[in-house]
Amino acid sequence: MITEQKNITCIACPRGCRLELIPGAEGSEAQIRGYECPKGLAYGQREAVEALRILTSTVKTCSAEMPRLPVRLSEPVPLDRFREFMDLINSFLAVEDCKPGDVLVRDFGMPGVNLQATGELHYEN
Amino acid sequence: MQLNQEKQLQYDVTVVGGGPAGMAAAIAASDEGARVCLLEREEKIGGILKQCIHDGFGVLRFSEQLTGPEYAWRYAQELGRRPVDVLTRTFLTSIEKNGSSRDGYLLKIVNSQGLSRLETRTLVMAMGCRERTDRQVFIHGERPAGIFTAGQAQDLINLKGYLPGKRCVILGSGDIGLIMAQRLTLEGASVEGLYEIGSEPSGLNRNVSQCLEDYGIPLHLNSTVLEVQGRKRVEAVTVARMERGIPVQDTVRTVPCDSLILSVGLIPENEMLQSLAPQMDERTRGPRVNQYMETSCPGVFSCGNALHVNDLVDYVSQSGETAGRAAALYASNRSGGDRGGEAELTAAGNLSYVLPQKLRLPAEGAVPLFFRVNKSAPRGKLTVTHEGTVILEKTFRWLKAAEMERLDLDLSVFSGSNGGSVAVRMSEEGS
Repeated sequence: MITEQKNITCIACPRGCRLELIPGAEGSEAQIRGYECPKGLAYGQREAVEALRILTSTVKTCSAEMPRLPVRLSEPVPLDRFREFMDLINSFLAVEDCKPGDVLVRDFGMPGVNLQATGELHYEN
Repeated sequence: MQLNQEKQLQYDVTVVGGGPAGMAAAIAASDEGARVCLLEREEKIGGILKQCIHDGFGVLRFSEQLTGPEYAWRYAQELGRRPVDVLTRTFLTSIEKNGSSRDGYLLKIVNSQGLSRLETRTLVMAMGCRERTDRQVFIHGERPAGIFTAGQAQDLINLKGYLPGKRCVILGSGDIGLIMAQRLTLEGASVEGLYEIGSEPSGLNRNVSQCLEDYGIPLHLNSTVLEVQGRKRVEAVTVARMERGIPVQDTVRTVPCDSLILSVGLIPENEMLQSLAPQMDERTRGPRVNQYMETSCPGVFSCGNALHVNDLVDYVSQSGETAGRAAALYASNRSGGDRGGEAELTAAGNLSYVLPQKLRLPAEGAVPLFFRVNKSAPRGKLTVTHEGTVILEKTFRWLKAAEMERLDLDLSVFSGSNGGSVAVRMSEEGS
């Protein structure tokens, strides 16, 4: 749950309303202002509880032809933990062949979240 | 593959460019039974998708949020299952007409095998687009090291693993610029701000929200970079708020930085077409095409971002498929030839362009019309008229200049007519 006011752009539709998320008193539900439809309200409420995002990045490889392998996290994770996840991702080295969808690390930083390859890496023997 | 110098290469369909449009075109043409060749100058096919590691691709196509490399990989797998000759690290150097127009085209290509000639009945041009560079925008000062286009920065970070700068200013709010603001931040650079001369961002809302707001990166609208400071390396930029094209005096500021990233527009890449001189559309900067993506040069088709700059890759693939299939039918004389006529489409009112620009008639089924508005509007009414008679009307909500719109036009409304002019107009409604 948010602890201070946040102003965000609603992405529920192309209209792009400006939403104000105002924290509720002592853990009560946040107040959402500026929405124009039920979808916007729902989006604001979700964002007020916890902003979850899919993190994509790259990891190092030992291949000269392909020095970076693109990766993603299998599940959306809290936006405010991205920094931690980036540190974990940047300490990983892809040493084996893989293709998109392959799991590189299970329970990566959080139970149930996997580090997945999104590109194909092929080492010449 | 090995090129045979003795034998002239001969194909029904040659696709130029192995990005999403070209891959889809080659697959579709092959599925129609054509002998297909795909020319790609890079080492691997996939085009710019290879460096677009963020997700959000393929929502329409696969009903999934894929990353760029995943989307490209799926198409490359499909392509690999077909008898298509994929020539990578191959450059097309010239295109000439081969005999009379229906005989097709003669291409010269260069690769590790040397110079080869290739004869093809049809061509599918899928070269994509290019970014506008620092030479195409008016900024005072030198051009020291540290100025990159957003796509260059993306290539350096995502494919090569280099950080182009530690303290960056971004000019322009195109989608790649927004996405790079996020990538640079996550990789440890500080993004001082993003400056946009227009009164609204030119990228999608989703990117403004998830690439700038999520990281607290300031977006300065109606503002621009006036000057680059530094001789060897960028040291700072001068920025200002603009009013009617003039900097507002007390808003001129110096922002220290070591790099300037430009996201100031994309231009369809069609230089290779110049020798054939097809009719061009000055708004889209691509060739004028009919619903089969055929240009005014017989047997030459255009698709993807070479035709017009798209915001969704799904539409790029779709146009590639249409072009590839039509090229295969043309090559086997199944396209209906030159029968019938053509209706001309024009964009009017608050529309910057409409695509396709021509309709070959008579024809069956529905044609997707793609269009973009000049100015964002809460509401707009699209009216399509043929020779003065209204044939389609639809109201749109929350039109954005940044977002392409689409509407299907059922061709049965043209019953009995083989031409004429079709006006597509977007007007304000009820305001």
